[in-house]
Amino acid sequence: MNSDPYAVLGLTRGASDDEVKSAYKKLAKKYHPDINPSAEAEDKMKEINAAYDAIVNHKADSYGSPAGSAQGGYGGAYGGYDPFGPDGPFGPNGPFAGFGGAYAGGGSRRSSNTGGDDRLNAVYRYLAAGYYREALNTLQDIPDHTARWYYYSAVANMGLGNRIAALQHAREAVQMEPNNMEYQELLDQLQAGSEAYRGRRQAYSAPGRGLDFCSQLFCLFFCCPFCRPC
Amino acid sequence: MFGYVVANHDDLTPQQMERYRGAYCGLCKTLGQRHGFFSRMSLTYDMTFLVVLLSSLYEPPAEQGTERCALHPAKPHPYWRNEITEYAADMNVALAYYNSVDDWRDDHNLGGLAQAKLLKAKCDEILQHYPRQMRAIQYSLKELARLEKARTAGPDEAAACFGTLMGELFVLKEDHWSTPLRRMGIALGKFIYILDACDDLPEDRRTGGYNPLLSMDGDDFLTRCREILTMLIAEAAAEFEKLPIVEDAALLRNILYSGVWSKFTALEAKQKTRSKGDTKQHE
Repeated sequence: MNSDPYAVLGLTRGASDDEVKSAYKKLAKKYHPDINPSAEAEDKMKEINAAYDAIVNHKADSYGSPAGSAQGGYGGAYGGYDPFGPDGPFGPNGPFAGFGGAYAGGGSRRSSNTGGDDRLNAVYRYLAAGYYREALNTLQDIPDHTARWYYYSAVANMGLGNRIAALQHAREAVQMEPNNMEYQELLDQLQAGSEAYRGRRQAYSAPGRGLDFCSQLFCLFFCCPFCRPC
Repeated sequence: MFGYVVANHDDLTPQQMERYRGAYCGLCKTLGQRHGFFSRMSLTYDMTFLVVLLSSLYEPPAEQGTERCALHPAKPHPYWRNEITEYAADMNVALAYYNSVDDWRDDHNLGGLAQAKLLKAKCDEILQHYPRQMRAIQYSLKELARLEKARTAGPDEAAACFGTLMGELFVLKEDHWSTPLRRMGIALGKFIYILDACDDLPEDRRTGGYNPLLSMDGDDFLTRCREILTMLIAEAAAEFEKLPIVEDAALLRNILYSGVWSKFTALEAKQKTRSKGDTKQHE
């Protein structure tokens, strides 16, 4: 099997997204099991799929950077997508790096300094161990909502996939303590995908009221109960 | 809750416009043929988006033509359709059915009941073909009704419910692309749900209805909504970019990066005029 995914697709490194997609489509049409039922074609198709995934997923890691530099660094703007990635709060570099981190009494920048509140310390231990639900339950019993409370709540919600609550609480923590880098980092991670998105969005004009081919006519004719937005 | 996934037509080229309109007309025609004239009422732009997306991904053989329809008898217009159009038409009818049952249960809306009766038989048939999708629609809408009644759910829980529904609709079949498609559908479904909640907030505030965003109410409400919506749609767009889509990619990007904001931009404009009015009153 060819180790360079670009070569599998008949491309050279640095090919653009569109070139990768076109090349994949062309090959997929040739080797798709519906079109070419041989065992050889099946293997080839697997190889093509694997190559495509390797390129696309790697690109997604450094989303927002131009195609040329995309092969360079790891964990770019897109790192925020994966809380367990290298730079996420649960990754090896994050504040919740588990037993090697602050929990064991290590690093100075780590989060164990909670001002002596035992319950917040308990929340911290839950988070470090990945017990997000328990962390949230304990947080609910703490009436005093400090910046750290919001930060821990954001981390727990992020771990549970509640990205909306995580974003809200990370924002709250940053507003209460704008100089805390840890809080800011979490907020940035949650919004990393948003940055890349905004970049692409700028190419378009402000959307108007949208367009309406027929549904207004339908409303006039039938007092339609469904198309409420119109 | 439907009809937010539209294109920004100012930025469409004439060719893109023709493709988009052709997909819409093809879906309308298919709805009429498969499910009767009245089912055409339920046609949504969201399902048109799904037709373009899945057609572009799978590229099935398509039928192209022009026709005059009852609504525009004078001007013949081009359409295109394929097996995915048929799938989207079925899903469109299923959504309309469960939605109308909901309307009837909620406010005893007679239109809703009439619709539901018309569509019931169709849905039983669709259930045979697409049990996974139909179960997802049934489950999600029931769960949403329960959450809305209980009034305790936060935005994540409620949005995830509608996300599950859209996620299953986006997966035409389980294959190599079902993971990005499902994730894209989930994120887009959450986006639609939150956008709808933003839109409903003024009314819910007045009537005391349940709204998952009520706790965020305040001066910076729309700014916070924009932040959440951007996070969600960025997730959908990122999954989209993983798909090998070439044909109609520009049209689909127009919708994902710009058109989906049409409603929100209108909400912001409305708030601006309202706050201007307030300052004038103070003067």
